[in-house]
Amino acid sequence: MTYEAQISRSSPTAFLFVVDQSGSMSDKMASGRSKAEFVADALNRTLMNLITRCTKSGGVRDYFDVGVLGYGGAGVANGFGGKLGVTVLNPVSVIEQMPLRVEDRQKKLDDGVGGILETTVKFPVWFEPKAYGGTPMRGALTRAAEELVLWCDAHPDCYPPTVLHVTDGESTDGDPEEIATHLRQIRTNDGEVLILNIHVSTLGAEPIRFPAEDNGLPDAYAKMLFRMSSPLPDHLVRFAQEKGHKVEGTARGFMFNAEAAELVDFFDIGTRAAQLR
Amino acid sequence: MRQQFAGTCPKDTSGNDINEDRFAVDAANGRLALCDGASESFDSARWADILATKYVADPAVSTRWLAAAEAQYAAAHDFASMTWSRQAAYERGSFATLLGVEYKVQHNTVEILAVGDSLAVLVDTDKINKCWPFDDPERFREHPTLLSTLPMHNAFLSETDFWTKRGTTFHLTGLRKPNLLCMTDALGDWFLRQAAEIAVPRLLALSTQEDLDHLVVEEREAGRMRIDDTTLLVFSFSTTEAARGVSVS
Repeated sequence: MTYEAQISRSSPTAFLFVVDQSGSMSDKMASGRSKAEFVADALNRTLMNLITRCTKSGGVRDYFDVGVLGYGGAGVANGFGGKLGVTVLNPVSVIEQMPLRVEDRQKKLDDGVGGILETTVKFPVWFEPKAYGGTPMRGALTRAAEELVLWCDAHPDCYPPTVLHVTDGESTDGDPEEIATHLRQIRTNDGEVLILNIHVSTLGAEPIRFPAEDNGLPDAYAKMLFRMSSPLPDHLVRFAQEKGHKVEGTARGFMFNAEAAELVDFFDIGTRAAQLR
Repeated sequence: MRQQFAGTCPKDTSGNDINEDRFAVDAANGRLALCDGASESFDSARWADILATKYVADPAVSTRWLAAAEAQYAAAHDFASMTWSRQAAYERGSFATLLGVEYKVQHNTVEILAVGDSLAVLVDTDKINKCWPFDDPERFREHPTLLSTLPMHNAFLSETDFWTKRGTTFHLTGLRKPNLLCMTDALGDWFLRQAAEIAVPRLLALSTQEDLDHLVVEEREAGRMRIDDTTLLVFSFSTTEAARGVSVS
């Protein structure tokens, strides 16, 4: 049986976000914000949620190692800055202590009597939006593979790492599929590395969410991303279904032409590793 | 009603993680409560402790009862002084099961309230007489409804059939050697997947904490028991108690 290792401080798992920061990510969405800004917000929110899931009254428990790789005109780089930028994968307790800044943001709440209450909430920021240059996707996935080989060697019995890859365009540094195939062959005793791909678009085309086959995909690029995506383990299928998605048991971790707003949901599903202890 | 055994084995036997199961017993008044605090919760051990203690003091669970428990939980935390991550985790809430038991001497019955998937089992000698809230181990794969420190998650408590759906009565009259076993989900799941003639004697034979630790570690290593906080309470009823009384349906 795979993808069943229970997650604890002595047996953590890893999440590696791989984020396209090419020039096209500066395209504006209907809200007036760029895709890069939306991805950064979604990623910061996901990091916050991961930390929150690990936080007990006694402190933050290191159930997860988390990293971000960005790729664009400057090549492939650690998405974290400051002290966090020294290594790609960091324990959540370290990430919790080192946001770039903590912003005060306004949040509207139902006041329970038909009105709206505005309140200030803390919003930590670790990852800044960037959008420039080409799309060295092959280089990014190669770097991800290098990191995850080391992680799996050090954690042979743990729930395997999950790669959450966000892109809006085609690779400009060669075929990424070959590297993705290698990446998926990296494994712990609990299973192969999971790769989940989300393609975000501002074109308003019909999104395709968690397909089980490539018949309905519009072009060769979409079919390639489909092939690069892992079949979802049973518990992620169930979780996606609970979130209202129509997902078959043989679905892959892939969304095409997704609206950027779906990123948070996608990240939430992708980071639901097996049971936390 | 006499306590024969009470033991709890943490998920992490090296002791690095807090055991989030809590129980309270008032044998003189025939009450006990077992609560399993959810792992992904800010302070579920404290929440479980509040619920168990409160049930034993007052088993009339209601929305007002729960509001008082929520207030007790809130009073134990200083939100303003927390870091952003603790504030965010606190706002997600804490969650726990509640398995409440009340022995009614005059009726010779045991009333059970089960919110969540902690399991009560009435056995007679080495046979299972009745389980609550279910007897199908597959039900442990579902997401249980839990009591939360956040009122928005507790709407089910106001449902008109709350007690009908979550309460039951175990009748002791006529049983030869009744024992009540209360256990949290990992042990409950293991128990319901074993043959009763093996599992019942094995649990009834436990007499020390070390006995429970040995069983749990052995079954975990064999892959037959999930790694989770594991608690077992065993209560017996004298044959004169069991033979007495009128069955009440």
